[in-house]
Amino acid sequence: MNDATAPDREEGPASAMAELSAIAEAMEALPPHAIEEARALLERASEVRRSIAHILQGIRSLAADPGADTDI
Amino acid sequence: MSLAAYLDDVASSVRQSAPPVSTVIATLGEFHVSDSGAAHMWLHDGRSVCRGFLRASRAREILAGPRPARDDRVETDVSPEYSPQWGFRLLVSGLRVTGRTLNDADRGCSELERRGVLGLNRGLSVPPWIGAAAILAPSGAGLEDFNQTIAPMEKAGILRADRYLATFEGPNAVPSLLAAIRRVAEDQRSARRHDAVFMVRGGGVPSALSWLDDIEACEALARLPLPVFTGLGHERDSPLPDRVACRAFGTPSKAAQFLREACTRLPLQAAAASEALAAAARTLADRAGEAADRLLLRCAAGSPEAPLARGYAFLANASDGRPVRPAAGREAVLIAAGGRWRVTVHEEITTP
Repeated sequence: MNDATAPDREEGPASAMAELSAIAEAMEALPPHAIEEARALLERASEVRRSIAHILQGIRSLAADPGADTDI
Repeated sequence: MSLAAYLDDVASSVRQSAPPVSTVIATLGEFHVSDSGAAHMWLHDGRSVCRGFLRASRAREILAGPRPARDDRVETDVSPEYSPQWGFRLLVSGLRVTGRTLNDADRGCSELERRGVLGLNRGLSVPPWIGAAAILAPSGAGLEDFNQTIAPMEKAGILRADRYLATFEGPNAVPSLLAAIRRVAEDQRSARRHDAVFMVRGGGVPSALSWLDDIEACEALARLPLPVFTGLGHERDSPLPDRVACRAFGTPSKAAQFLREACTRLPLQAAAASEALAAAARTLADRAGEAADRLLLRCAAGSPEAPLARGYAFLANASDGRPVRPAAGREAVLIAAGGRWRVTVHEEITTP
């Protein structure tokens, strides 16, 4: 995962979900010919989804073992 | 000489030198009638104590009226008896209740009330959880039983129990108790703090606990800033420490059981809460993951490439790629999933 583009860990999954939602709205507003922009947005959405998966995995690990060493 | 022969000699000596029937004033420490109708009792007077025995034949007559009870002041007609089988005891041939004895504990209560300290410890709250306990006890079987009950909790690391050994019986009892109570109070002002004090001692003859009925020692107990729980002697005993304690459990084993439950209560609740939180966190994480998946799908479905992937295509202006309407003779770019093609529109086909 590209840390430079990952959602801020301090803000957690809520901000990542908000970004994903904003990407979906931006995508739906694109004109038919904005294919390159659409690809860039989809790439960004995939990054954010991976980042969310990482944060959620950390939450699951913490739930299973509150003393676990996670980097979320 | 065998033990039996020796003890027979002792019994004979007692018989020969025994004073005639004497009238003795004492306090009943304990009194019960066996199935055979004979009465067994403890008689005491201050620091002196002796077993008494009333034969069934006399008991029927003597006990026809109100039954004597613990702490009754009695006038008894007694003669000494020693037998290798029963040991030393006083044979009771007459027993008259003359009143109630105000024992040391009763007197102590009145004095502690006068000093305004009787209810100090009783007014403290019972902690919902005990993680560290000060055990105030003499060494002996009572403490060993207590230790055995709480040992698993100590081993599991959920209870820290510090022992403050003291003498509970004899002339050294009071100074020893006061020193131990002082150590508990001092530790309470240090890192070695406790949630409660457990004062425990196994059972014994009724007079054994009377050493604990000391005003100064019990005032020190009452003034401790942490709750004192007692488990002293038997259920029937009620020494002065029981009267000042936050809670009296009657026996060491009951006090130990309380401590065992008190120290496990919070960890068990915490474990249950932790498991519930973990389950909730897992559910929330699963739902968040599903919501993120739906958003990602929405992103993909909303992309202009999505209709192309389904087989649609559109005409775009060759110069800026913007969509254009088809018109006969127009040159344009056809944009489809497979790529882009320069095309010329020939003519409109009229749909029949």
